[in-house]
Amino acid sequence: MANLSSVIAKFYNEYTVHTPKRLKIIDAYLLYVLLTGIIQFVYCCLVGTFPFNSFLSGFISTVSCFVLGVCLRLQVNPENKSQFYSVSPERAFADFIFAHVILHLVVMNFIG
Amino acid sequence: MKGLILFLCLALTRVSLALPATSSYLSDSDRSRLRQVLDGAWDVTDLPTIHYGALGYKLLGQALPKPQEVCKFLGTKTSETSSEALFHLTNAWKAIGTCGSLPSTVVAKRLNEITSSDASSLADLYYAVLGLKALGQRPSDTPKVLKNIQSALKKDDSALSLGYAFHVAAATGADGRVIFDRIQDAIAQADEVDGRFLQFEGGLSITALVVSGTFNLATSQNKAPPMTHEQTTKFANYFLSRRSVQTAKGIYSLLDVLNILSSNKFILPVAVSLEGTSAVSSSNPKVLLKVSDVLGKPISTSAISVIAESAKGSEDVVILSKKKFEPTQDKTVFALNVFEEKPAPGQYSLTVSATLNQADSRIPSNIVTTLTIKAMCAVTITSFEIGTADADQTTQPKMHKVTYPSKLPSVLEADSQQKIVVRFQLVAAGTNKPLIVHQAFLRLWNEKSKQEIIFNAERDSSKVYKFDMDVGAKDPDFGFLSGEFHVDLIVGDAIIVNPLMWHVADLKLSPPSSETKEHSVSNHAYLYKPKPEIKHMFREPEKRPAAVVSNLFTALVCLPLLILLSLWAKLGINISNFPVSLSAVGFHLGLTSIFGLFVVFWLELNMFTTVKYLIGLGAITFLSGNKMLAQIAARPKA
Amino acid sequence: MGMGGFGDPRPKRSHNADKHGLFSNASGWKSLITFTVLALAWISGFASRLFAVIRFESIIHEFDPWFNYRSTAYMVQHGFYNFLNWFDERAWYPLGRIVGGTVYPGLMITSGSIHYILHSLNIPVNIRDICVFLAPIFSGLTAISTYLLTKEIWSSGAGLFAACFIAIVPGYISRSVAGSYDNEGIAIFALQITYFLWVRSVKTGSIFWACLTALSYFYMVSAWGGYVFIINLIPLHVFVLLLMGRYSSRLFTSYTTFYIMGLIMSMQIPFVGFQPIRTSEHMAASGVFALMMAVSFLKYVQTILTKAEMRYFYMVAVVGAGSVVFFTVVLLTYAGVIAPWSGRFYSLWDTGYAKIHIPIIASVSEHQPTTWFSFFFDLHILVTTFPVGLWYCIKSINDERVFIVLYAVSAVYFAGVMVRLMLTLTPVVCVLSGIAFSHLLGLYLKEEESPSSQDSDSEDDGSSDKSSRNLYDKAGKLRRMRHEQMKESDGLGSNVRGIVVMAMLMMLMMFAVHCTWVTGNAYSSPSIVLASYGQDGSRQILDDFREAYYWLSQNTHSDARVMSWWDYGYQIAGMANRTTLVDNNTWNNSHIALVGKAMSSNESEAYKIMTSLDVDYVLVIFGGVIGYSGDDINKFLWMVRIAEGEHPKDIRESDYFTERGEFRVDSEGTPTLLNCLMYKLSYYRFGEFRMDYRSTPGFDRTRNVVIGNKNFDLTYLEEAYTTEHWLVRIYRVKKPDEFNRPRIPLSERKIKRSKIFITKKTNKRRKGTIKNKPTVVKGRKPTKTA
Repeated sequence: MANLSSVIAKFYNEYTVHTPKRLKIIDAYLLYVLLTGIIQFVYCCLVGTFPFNSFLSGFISTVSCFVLGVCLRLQVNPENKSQFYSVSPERAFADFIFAHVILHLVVMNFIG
Repeated sequence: MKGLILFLCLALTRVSLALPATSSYLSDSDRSRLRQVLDGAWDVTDLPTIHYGALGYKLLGQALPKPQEVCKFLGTKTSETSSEALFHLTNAWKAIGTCGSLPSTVVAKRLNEITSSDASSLADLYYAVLGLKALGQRPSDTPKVLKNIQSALKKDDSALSLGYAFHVAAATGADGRVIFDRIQDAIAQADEVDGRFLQFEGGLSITALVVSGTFNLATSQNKAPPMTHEQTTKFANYFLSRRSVQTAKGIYSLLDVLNILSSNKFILPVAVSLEGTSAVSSSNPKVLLKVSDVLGKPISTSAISVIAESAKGSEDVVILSKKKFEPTQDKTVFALNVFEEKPAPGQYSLTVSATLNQADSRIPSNIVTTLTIKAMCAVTITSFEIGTADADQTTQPKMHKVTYPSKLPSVLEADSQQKIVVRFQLVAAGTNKPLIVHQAFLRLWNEKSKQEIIFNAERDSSKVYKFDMDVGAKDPDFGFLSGEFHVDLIVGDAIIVNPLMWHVADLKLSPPSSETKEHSVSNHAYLYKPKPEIKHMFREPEKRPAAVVSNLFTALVCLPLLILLSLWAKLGINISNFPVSLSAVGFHLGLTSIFGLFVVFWLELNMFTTVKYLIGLGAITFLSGNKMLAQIAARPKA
Repeated sequence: MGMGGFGDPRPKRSHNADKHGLFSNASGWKSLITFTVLALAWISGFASRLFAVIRFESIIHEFDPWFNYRSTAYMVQHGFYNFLNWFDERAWYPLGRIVGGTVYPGLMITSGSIHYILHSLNIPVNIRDICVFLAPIFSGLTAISTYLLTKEIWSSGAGLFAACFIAIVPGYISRSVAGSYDNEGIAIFALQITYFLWVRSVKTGSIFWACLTALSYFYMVSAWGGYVFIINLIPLHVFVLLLMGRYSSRLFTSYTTFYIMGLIMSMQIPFVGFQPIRTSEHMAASGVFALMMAVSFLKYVQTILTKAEMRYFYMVAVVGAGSVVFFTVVLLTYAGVIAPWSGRFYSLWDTGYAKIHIPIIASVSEHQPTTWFSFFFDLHILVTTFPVGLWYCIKSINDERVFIVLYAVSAVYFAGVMVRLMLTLTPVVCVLSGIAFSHLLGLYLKEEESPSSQDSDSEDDGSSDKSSRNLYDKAGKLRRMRHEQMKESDGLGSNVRGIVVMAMLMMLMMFAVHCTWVTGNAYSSPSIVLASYGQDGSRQILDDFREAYYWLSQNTHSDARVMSWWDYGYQIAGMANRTTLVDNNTWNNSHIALVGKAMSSNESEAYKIMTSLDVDYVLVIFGGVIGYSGDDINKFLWMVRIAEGEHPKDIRESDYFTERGEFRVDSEGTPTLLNCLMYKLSYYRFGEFRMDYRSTPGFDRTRNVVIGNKNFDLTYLEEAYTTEHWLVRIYRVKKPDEFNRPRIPLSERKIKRSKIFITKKTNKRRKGTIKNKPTVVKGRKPTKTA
């Protein structure tokens, strides 16, 4: 246990020190989306999933926001520059916006 | 009128095959009815009707209605040239007899022309010769007429033609003997029906024409026609069966031929019939028998002795033999008290023989015929019991005695687990012998719904009537109704003088169990009704959570947003770096409006319009976004 | 919102190629040639699909296309939303069918939008013509997307080969001739473009391409049930890459974006509904998604933590996550939340499964296992060259080629299981054969070797273009070609090269000839209109089907219900516009079994079924006069089997076989067979029929026997119409008052009774006689005396 907590403590330190501010902003966004998703999940566990499509569209919307956020974070991260040689941060942001527009069009259609 | 016909038909009850006598005659009621028919058909503007009607009235012995008008009408017809019209005219004139003198020379001349013409058909010849006869003349060239007839008969020797020929030959007097030989041919053509009737194809008028022609010819030749007495009787039977005829011509034919059959010199059919009812009972013990000719007149001046040879009931029980009928005041009617023999109720066939004390060549010496009579009795109900029992017969039925005509004082009650049991016996009054009746019913009648259900009571070998009704099993018949029913006993038979309907008891049925009802209702009661409409059931929406819970979670979902903002604030977002340019503003505006559009889409728009707007907004946002990001990218990384 | 503005994501290799190109504007030549070849491929592909239109007419083919056509016409007329809510009461009488919810609408939407666009441009085209020509047009798009895919995987030369192959390969033409208006026609395009976009997005790791992949996947979902292939193949690809240790952030980006967007988009199709999160077929994808998240999280943690810590953490995380996922899936399946695999899916794994459990699937010929013959017939030379391409791909493997290898292996397996899935094999065979040919030609045409070796594998375009064009031009001249990769080829002499190249060209020519021949002869029959050839080669058109359907539409009440075997359901609905009981959308097996039972029972039993189903007309296909083998008697055993599956008490298959286990309709056939409704309807009056004066009456040309039961009458039906060649026979079901009524048991008689109920005498029940019937003795005519 002690091992685990020490690992976590180290992890936190590493994070606060080495992560660029840009990424921290995205991480905050990710945390927000994650919390929203958890709340939705709790709701569905407690109350039920009755309008199933509405629940699904909400939940999948948060999951996709999270996923897209992660993708954006990966692409913007300077450490990953070698992997995304063709994707500049601005391009990544534009893709992110594009994906969101399409995603939410579908979500709105699905939410009923 | 209809009832009368029905009665007449019924009167022709069964007669045995040997036919020495007809079983009916033209009674007074028949005559008056025929007259009514004539009255109805009387038409002063139709020659054939006038002709036949006038003759019919004459034969019935009635005066002609409106003779003046008829004469006036006939006067306008003297210039007719067709043989048929002239035939009707002359004969009607003669039948009426009060129209003064006919311009006979003109008519006779015309008729003679027809008789001597080669082109004339048999019918023409018949009309012409008989027209002449009505004028009191004979055809001027009799041999020619007979020759014409013979040649016509070679072409066509049907019954109708032969009938015409006989009449013509009879009118020509002694010369007609050449035709006399053809009588046999004609009679042979008659169809025999059931061994009772002889008739020609074509019905009453042709049969009457042939038969009357035959007898007329025989009379004119003074030779007996080549017919047996039995054949004549069968013809007579046929004519009498047609008493219901409805046309003037038919009435005339019928009356004419019956007249001939009752008054000719050669063969006289005899009618032996029951006078009055055929039923005898203790109150009316006598059988009345009438022996007459076909017109109901005495056949002979001499006395007749009538003997009941035997009377057989069902299963060949002979109850009498060789009993002599007593003569009555009416010369044609004879009586016999059958009830002296105490017959069991039922039908009997009575064989009767009549003998003329003085022989008559026209009539067979001994006339034997069979008639059906029935002996009736009153019925009494004995040992009537009604009760209820369990349907599965575990217990003895509980029976109540009821005597006719009183009613069971208490009300019977039964439910679908029980059955109704009824026992009774019918006996003949007086003899107290058990009786089997044709109809014994139990009727259940609901006073309110007017519904009635009729059941058959069945008898067992000991002639006890039984009736079991399993209420549960019969539920469908009641339409699953419950309530109070009258129980009526209905007894009826042709040999019973007192058919009865007796209100025996009141029955209360308790409602059947709902389960069986539902099951069987679909089988029977709703069979002919429209089936209930099938409605589509939409899935019930699941219950939604309470508004409080939903709102709470909505608030909870907004909570992370605060966390996000606070985190961003903590990290220190640099909004001051916002590039104030057209493209940046356009981009953000465009993006905002796109998400606004999505909200509107969610609320009201459909897919297609949304996509349409989206293309426009997207283009703007794309262009400005492209420009803005390019600017940012170009900016040196600080 | 396209991202094109942000720079071309193409690798820099092409820029290099430009710099090192031989011609000053090599890229210009290259794109011109590429364009020309693709255009030619499109045109030739389009042209060779027109055999049916030219030989017969512009008409919708076969069975399913008729339904697609009918619903497209409905959609065009009533609008899209009404179409989604369309409840078709003319099908599956008396159940009806919710068409909007049980159909893949992609096909209708595609042709509907083409129709809409053309009409808004004031080009009045009949929707039927769009439907007829949709598949050929899409075959061109398929060629282009195949080109793109191959280019991503290998080189643009191989791409051009592949495009040319796919344009004319019979395995694809079989589903996309003009008039074959079916889902597969557009689905193969969607399949190929999805794979192309997927490969592109894996290569770049861009969210944009992943989004496009998801969009194109959405189109595929809307078009064909075969989308399941994609949603399993792509996760498999990802999974294999993970196993190979080829995880990268690009892979994460593309897969997660594709999966999550594809998931929600696929649920927009009403027919698919919530299946993507409920059925086992889709679970692999979500499992891989979860795995991907876990792996990426680990990788992220790895960047921060030390190795030792990492190992510890790794163990905990992997074991924990793995077991949680596994137990969740098992538990959900067990609890019924996730549906187990469907029957059709099982039949993919166990070829005998369908035969035993689902006769209705086994009864369709295209669900039978594929024979070797049909592999060769449909793919010809490509069968042999495609392993070569596969080998090349394996030899120089990278992320994309893993994908194409997996695609090839799985498609081969499925194609072996079901004839129908040959269709999914065909594109990958074309791609790999394109690679093989491109590679081989590159090897052997390298005589005028380039002075410097480039890294560009796109240089071989020119040669391969021309060689592929040679399929049509038959040019024999050698082409110049540089290829740099095979250095060992230097040792080959020019003769060997020449022979090999000539041999390859000959093979390609034969391939082209074979394709044209197969297309013309095997795949261009509309199957509604039949053609027969006389001995002098003259062609005779047998138009019996349309004759019968037209008769139905003109001579029956518009609400008349027509019973036929399900094959003809769509055609009756589409052409005769009459209500059918069952059709090619075989969603209700018991209803079909009921019809099968009616067909296999005797007449009176069948009448009961037909009355209960309100049948007015019965339609059977009978080929005995012209020797048409696809008639109902030949399908009859399937009817019996399907009926037996649902009504084992009433119908037994063994009753229809002779003692020696043969199915015969001649005098040795079993009495059950010779008296069943299908037999009677097929052979009614056939016993009197003779082809010409020499032949025996009642000789069935399809089965080459004289039928066993010749002279019989129909009690409950009457012949309403028989077409010219007896191919279609229509019978009318008589109403109960029209035939000698069957004896109804006393208890079931429906006598209208008044309220008065009278019991009947139980003893002495006698038959009625007419009392006092007169006996007439006729009189005689007198004998003539002279």
